[in-house]
Amino acid sequence: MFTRTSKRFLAPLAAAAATAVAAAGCAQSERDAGGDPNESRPLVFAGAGDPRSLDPVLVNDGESFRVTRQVMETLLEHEPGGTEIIGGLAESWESNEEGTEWTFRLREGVTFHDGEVFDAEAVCANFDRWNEFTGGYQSSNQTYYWQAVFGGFAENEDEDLPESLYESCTAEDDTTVTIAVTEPSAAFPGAFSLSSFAIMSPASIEAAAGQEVGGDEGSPVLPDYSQEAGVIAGTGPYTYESWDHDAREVTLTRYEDYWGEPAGVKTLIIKTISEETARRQALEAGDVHGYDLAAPADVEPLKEAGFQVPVRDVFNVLYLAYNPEANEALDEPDVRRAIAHAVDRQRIVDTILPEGGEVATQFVPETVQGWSPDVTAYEYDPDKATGLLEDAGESDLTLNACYPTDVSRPYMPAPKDIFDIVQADLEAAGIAVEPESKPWDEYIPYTDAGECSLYLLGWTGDYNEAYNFLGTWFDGYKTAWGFRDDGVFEAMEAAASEPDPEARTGLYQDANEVIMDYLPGLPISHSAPSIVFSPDVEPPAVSPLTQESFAEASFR
Amino acid sequence: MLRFITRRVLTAVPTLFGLSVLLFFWVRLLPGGPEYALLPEDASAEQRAALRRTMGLDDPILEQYGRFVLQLLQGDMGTSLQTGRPVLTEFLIKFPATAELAAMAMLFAVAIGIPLGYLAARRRGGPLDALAVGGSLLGICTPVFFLAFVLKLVFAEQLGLFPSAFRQSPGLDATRITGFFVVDGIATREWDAAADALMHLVLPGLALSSIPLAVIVRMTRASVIEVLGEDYVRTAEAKGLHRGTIRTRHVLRNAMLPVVTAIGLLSGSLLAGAVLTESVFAFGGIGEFIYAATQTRDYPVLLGFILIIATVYVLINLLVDISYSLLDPRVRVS
Amino acid sequence: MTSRAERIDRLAELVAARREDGAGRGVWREAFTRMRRDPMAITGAAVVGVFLLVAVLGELIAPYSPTAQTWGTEVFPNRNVFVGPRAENWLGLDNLGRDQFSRMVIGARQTLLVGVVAAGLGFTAGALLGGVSGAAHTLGGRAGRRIDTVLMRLTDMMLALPTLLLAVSIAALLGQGLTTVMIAVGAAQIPIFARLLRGAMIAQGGRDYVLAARALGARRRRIALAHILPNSMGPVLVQLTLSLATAIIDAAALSYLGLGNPDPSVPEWGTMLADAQRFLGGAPQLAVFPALAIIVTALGFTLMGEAMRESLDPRLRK
Repeated sequence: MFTRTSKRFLAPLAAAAATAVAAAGCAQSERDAGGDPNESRPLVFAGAGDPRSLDPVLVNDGESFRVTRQVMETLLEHEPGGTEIIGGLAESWESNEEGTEWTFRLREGVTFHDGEVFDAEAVCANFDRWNEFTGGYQSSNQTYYWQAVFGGFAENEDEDLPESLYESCTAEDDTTVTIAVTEPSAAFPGAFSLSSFAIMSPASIEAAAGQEVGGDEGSPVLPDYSQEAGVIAGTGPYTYESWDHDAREVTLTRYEDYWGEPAGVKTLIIKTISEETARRQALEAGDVHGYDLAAPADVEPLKEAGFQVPVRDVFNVLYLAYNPEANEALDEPDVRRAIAHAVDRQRIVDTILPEGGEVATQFVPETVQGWSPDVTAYEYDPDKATGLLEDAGESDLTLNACYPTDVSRPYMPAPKDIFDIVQADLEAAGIAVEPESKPWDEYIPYTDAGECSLYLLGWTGDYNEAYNFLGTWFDGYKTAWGFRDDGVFEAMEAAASEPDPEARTGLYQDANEVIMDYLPGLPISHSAPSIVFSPDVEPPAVSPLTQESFAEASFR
Repeated sequence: MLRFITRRVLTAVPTLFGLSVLLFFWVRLLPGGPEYALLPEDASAEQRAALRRTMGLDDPILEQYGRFVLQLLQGDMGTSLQTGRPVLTEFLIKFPATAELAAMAMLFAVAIGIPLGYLAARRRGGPLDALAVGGSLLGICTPVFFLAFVLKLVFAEQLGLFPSAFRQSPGLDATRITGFFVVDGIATREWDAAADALMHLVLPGLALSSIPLAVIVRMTRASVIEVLGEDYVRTAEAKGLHRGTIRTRHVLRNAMLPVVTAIGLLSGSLLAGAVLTESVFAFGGIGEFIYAATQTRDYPVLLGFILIIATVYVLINLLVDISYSLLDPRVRVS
Repeated sequence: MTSRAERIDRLAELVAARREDGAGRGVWREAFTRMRRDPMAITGAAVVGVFLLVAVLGELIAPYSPTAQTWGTEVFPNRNVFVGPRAENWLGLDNLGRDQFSRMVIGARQTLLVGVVAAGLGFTAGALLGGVSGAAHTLGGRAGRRIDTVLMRLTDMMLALPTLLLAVSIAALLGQGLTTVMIAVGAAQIPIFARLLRGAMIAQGGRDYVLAARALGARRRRIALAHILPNSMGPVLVQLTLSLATAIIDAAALSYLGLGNPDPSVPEWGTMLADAQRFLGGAPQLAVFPALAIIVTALGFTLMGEAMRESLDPRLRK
């Protein structure tokens, strides 16, 4: 914090220096001329897809959150550059013993972009609004994270929706708010840091109140307030300035009365370039100042050319899932172990993943609470793999194996290369592989349906809680995993129902050990997705959750 | 005459209707569904099933088709599942991008193709002819995406002459009227915006022009060769007419007729054919959007966009047929 | 599109037109003689010849296995460490430590396979469609013309759809695989062949010998199969050569979109180019070799096809 305050002092100095440099003729283009670049030039960042909506509660994808996160803030946050949960709009928080009442002490002196004051009433207005969503808003397409955490709504219109976990929100006083839920959940308190649950100005809520998700059945039209700048006011360092759908750019402007450190650059623009190589070329050509998820192969050449590639901590996992329902040989523990010994995971980390990646010992990265140092390790040993296969009587085993194409995920930068190594390793150990591939959007349903004996997939954490990783995979029978093991399921159940966060950590360590003994799949690696900035930008602290705050960035 | 036109219009209707049926069931045959593209990878099976249900995708397929046709008759093409905005709105946003790109590509193809084809024909068998023919064949044989990357590598990254992506520089304060950036810039006298948009069209225009350029070079060449052998040209030469006059008045004008027709129709094919160019240059046009829609199973966009394009295509053909029939009475009979 | 259609129809007329001046069977012989003197044709044939040789001999030429990641520990794509051409690996190593030269050589066969099968599929289906259409038009009377109209409207519709999107949806429908690439690429060729054969058959249908055969009371099917069809195949064969080039390029575009052969261990030029695109900055040779191979091979087929077309077209000869 201290260093950042001092930067404000240095700003005029830096500006003077920049002008001097410009005058000396080092900066060639006219746009650099004159004044503080932070005031006169926009910082342009390339995303891979268009945002879907400016109201974060209505979105579930990283491309949208990259935009909304700059403008809208949540009660809890992750420490800059880390995964530790810290106060955001709330300075402190606590829960009752049962984990059913969460009380937040709110930050004072915070105002919304429209001038309204941020207080307990405003928080409740948001939570009540979400819980009271009706009609088209109740589709999981619109309110995915609300439903993922709270289940349903005050009045469910679809009988298959679960009861809402949300009970009430009470403003104790201006700065104290209590959110009550009907039963404890392992999702709390981490879920209060989800970008979807960002606090919007009460005036904005009122303005949006009349707007429904329109359109006919089957083709919902998102409400206008979420498609253009002007209505939504948050508390963040940037305000929505405009969303130009023609040029596919969202423009954000610095909020001068921000409660924290004001944004470094006055204008932030987020553009869409869906093609990976095109993003790199745009950066090299100077058309953008940064982009996310750089291909690992591009990182070194970019660095050599003077671009900055700050290394993130890992907060994801890539795994090779086994599905015994697709091939019953995988019911045999020795076969599962043989595969684990056959794959040279170190080589994947060394040659494919960006700097900072590591071999995974279990299904959560080390930074997640619940990571266990004592899980069974499966070192690379092709001979042992062959031996295990022989023991199991599966010396001429053939497995179909799947990987996605046309996609790069934070945990899986080059799926085909990784798959290529896995395939070569398995074949070296004596397992014949029938490769299958699908474009990303077909891949998930295909693997979900249990069509692949082996497949590559992974997950990037939303918040620091083992449940966010393990919960969706191992808390019961899943077609995607195709196994039933009471040991695993019970260990997961024990952890998930424990309200005390510390006791829960211990239980998740146990669960991780049980899982790695059973080995429902092979955790391959944790990867640090690369974010790149041009040389003239002071980059923001990079986040393992890929949740950078661009307010921290500035031009040098 | 009128009967001929009415008949052609009437036959266009069942064609389009047939196409709508075909398309509707074709896209539904594709495995997977939008519920996978719209939710994160860890969404539960229940959530996906619920989404399918709320989107009405579990209703009997005929009912869904009925709903689609009913909506269509009211002029409603549904909503994009990816963006949550009406299909027509999306089309009107993407169309200008693609149209400008196609126009630029045609401009290059015509401006380079016709003179080159003409010269190649005049110096048939010479080195220039070989260069033109070889070059145009090379253009056809180079994968467009590779060409695009190389163009960017040389002209955007190494030389820095042109921008490598987008339709306009980020943050440029430009007024939008039609969505055609160049046109808007000129109409509002924001010359810098128009120039900027034009600069952004150069590289993608070049990449996209490779195939039409090759076609035009070869058509011009063939057509000029044919005309040069015609009696009236020889007569004109024998008469001792000025060479320039022969070239412009006799050769070029007559040779251009088939080329001009081809240009009109080639432009039509560029509208939907720019998938790769658009995505490599982050241009945000129709092709890129349809491709994304195929991937995410955005049914309304797939149906809507392709139907609009097909309608335009049918209309163009209709106009061509009608204008031919006006010019050439023999056509009317068949 | 219609310009394409027109070019197709034009080609279709040519062979028929040649027969008018009594050259008879000599057309092809004449064309061949002409082609032997045409540098374009010679270059094309040479390129295609080398390509075929490499594709057939494959393993005999390739010094190493194209799939063994023998030098896997020498290449670090994530650190921009690549191995370029050297004594033991003439074209260097690919991004996973495999011998690039061996992959290029073995890749030739896959590329040829995709090209030939795809063009063949397009040819067969298209010829069937066009043949029926053409036969119906020339011999089927009023009902025949109606059949012809319907079939041609169908092919026009196919021509109107962007080929790439057609291919993408076929890939989605059938699942990814080498077969899918062939079918998807081949499907895009169907309307071209259909139009071509139909045009040629209609042109033949008006010829004297057909009228004579009909006057003599020959059965319609016999006329179609024994007389019209064989005499209409010329332009179709020319197009087949050109289609081989298109098929190779289209297959590369499909790979680029991630819809190519799912087996990463099987080398194929299109897939290799699409994959190596990522390394254009650090190791351009990985993309340049397959790109050159594709361009040169496609050029070879195109030159041959064009030379054939030109030698058949009296308008383009002096």
